[in-house]
This record gives sequence, C-alpha cells and structure tokens, in this order.
Amino acid sequence: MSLVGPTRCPAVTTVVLEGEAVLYDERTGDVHTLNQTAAVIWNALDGRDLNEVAETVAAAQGAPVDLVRQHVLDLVPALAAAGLVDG
Amino acid sequence: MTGRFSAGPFAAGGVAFSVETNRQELQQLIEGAFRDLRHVGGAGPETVFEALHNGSRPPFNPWAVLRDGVVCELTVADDYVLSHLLWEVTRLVFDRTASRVHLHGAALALRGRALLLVGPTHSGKSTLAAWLTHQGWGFLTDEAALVDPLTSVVHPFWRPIGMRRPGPLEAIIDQVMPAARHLTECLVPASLIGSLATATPLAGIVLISLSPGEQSHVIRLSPAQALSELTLHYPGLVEAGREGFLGLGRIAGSVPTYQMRFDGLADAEQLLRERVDAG
Repeated sequence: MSLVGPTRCPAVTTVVLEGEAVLYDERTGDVHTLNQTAAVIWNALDGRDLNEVAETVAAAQGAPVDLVRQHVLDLVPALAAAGLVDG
Repeated sequence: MTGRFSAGPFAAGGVAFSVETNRQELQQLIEGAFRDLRHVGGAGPETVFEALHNGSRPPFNPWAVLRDGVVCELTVADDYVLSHLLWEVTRLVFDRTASRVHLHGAALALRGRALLLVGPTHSGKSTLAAWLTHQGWGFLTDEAALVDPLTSVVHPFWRPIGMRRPGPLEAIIDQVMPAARHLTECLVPASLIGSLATATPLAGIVLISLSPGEQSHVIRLSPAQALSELTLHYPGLVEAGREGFLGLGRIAGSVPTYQMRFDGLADAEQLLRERVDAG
C-alpha cells in the first residue's frame, strides 16, 4: 500500500448508522451525511492512493472497480473542499 | 416591598439552587413558577442566584442577575426577569450535567415510555407539552431535555412551561393561573395542569412542526438523518465536542426518530400515542 493519498482529518468524528455516515467537524461544528457508498469510501481514506481506495471499496462491495473509481473521484474533491481530508 | 427575600431551595437534574432578591413580588413569582423544582435538602452544595432591582424606572431595565456573586446580566427588563432566571438555571443544569446530552425539546411519558419533542422556537413544543400533560401524559421537561447517552433514559427537569397568548390552551391557563390573565407570556408549572414523571426510558424522538391547514402526518427518519437533524437541537454540542456527538449518535442509533407535521393538538396526540406503542 502506498501512502500518498488523502486521509480523514483527525478533527472529524464519524458515526456510522445503518451503513450511512455522519461526520462532525469539531473545528467548525459542521455536520455532513454520507450515503452508504460514500461512507465505505470515507472509511478507506487512510492515506492509500485513490486507485487503491477504489479497488478496496470495489472488492468489499462486489462492485465494478471503474464505477467505484468514478465515485471516489467525485467524492474526494468534495470532501477536500469541505476540509474533511488531509493530503 | 424591599429587603432581602429568599426563594427555594430548588433542585433540577440533581443540581441544587436558590434565588435571593430584594423585591418580595419577585420572590413570590419565583416560588409560584418554580414550584415543581421545590426541594428539601440532599442535592449537594447550593448555587445562589440573585435578582436585584436597582431602583430605576422605565425606560431603564432595572434588574441585575448574578450567579454565586458573578454577574450574569445587568440590565434585565421587569417582564423578562423571571424568564431570564429560568434561562440561567437551565445553563447551570447544563453545566453540571455535562455527561448527559441536552436537547432543545420537551419530553413526556406515557405508560413508562418517553417521547422527546424537538423543534425550533415557535414550532409548538411547549403548547403540545402542556396539552399532553393536561391529557394525562407525565411531564418530564419543556425546552431542556436531559438524556443519558448510555441508557437513553430521559431525566426530569420540571421547568415551568412557557405559554403564550393568544393560544389554544388559554382556557386551561386561565383556570389554573387566574392572576396571569393579563400576561401575553407566562410560566406554568406542569403540576398545575397534570402530573410529573420521573426518569423514563426513551421510546422515540419526534421532530415537530406546526403546519396549519396541512394534514397531520409522521415519517420515520433514517438514524443518520436523525443524527444530522438532532445536532441542530443540541445547544451545547460545540462545548461537548467529540464525546457529545458520539453520545448523540448512540441515542440516534438506539431509538427511532420521526418527523411530524401537525395541524391540531388532538391529531398530534393520536400520532404520538401511536409512536409510543411502536417504539
């Protein structure tokens, strides 16, 4: 695993309920909700590169890797814009 | 009459307090409005609030409010001093019960199960809380719910219910508080209109909104939607931080949360009874 990708920001606390994730940013008080697919991607953001994230999530969900990769490429910039990931 | 007058002792959420004032009229108002918080010893060291009139006349706001000798506010209006004291008491209770989740809502119990009614100001929480209490539900709190995040038990905080005129419960208020007929807002002790409930397990949370002209209905939220919504009604979330959020998450994951729009009080009660049975 190459550690060059984004990681979940330590100031963000995650609660997963029935597969959906609710993120609380202690710095801003902002709350974000992620659907089930986004929640799995979020959980995989531990520094590995985005291709590895897509492959991990695709394997876990039994989904086509190209489709998951697109979800990853859509989601990660939005998370970064909201300040929820580092790197 | 002036001098030094003491009201209390009171207790709320296990926190003891009393109020001292230099006006007997205010002492009598406090004793009346806070009667459900009356307490006789055993709740630990007492916090002393003071509400002191400085002798000035309108248009100046004459009241100073202090907590254990520290100024909370120096210019409180005559018709707001009781509400301000109640707000300071609520702050004290929140400060001293930091392990509990505090939600801006009312809580009522029926057949040993509690429902939490959450919503913004003017959503109908207090009116509905008073109506349900009058209809035989046990009153746990209005405006300030204390929930244990580990057990999802709602602890009582028998604040008086803030009622406004005109409103659908005017006749009830007039009956139990005839001296308050001239007031557009008054604080009604729940025990005057019904019974008080002790700590009760939570059966569900209902995000309410008064929707005149619309058919009353309820929908269930996913736990994640519920958690996201409930953060908006947790006034101390920033101070409680990560632990507070995790606590709220435990509650949202352990009891169902609903969204209810209601037109009339009777409709709302029927829907809420169904939620108690379903929860």
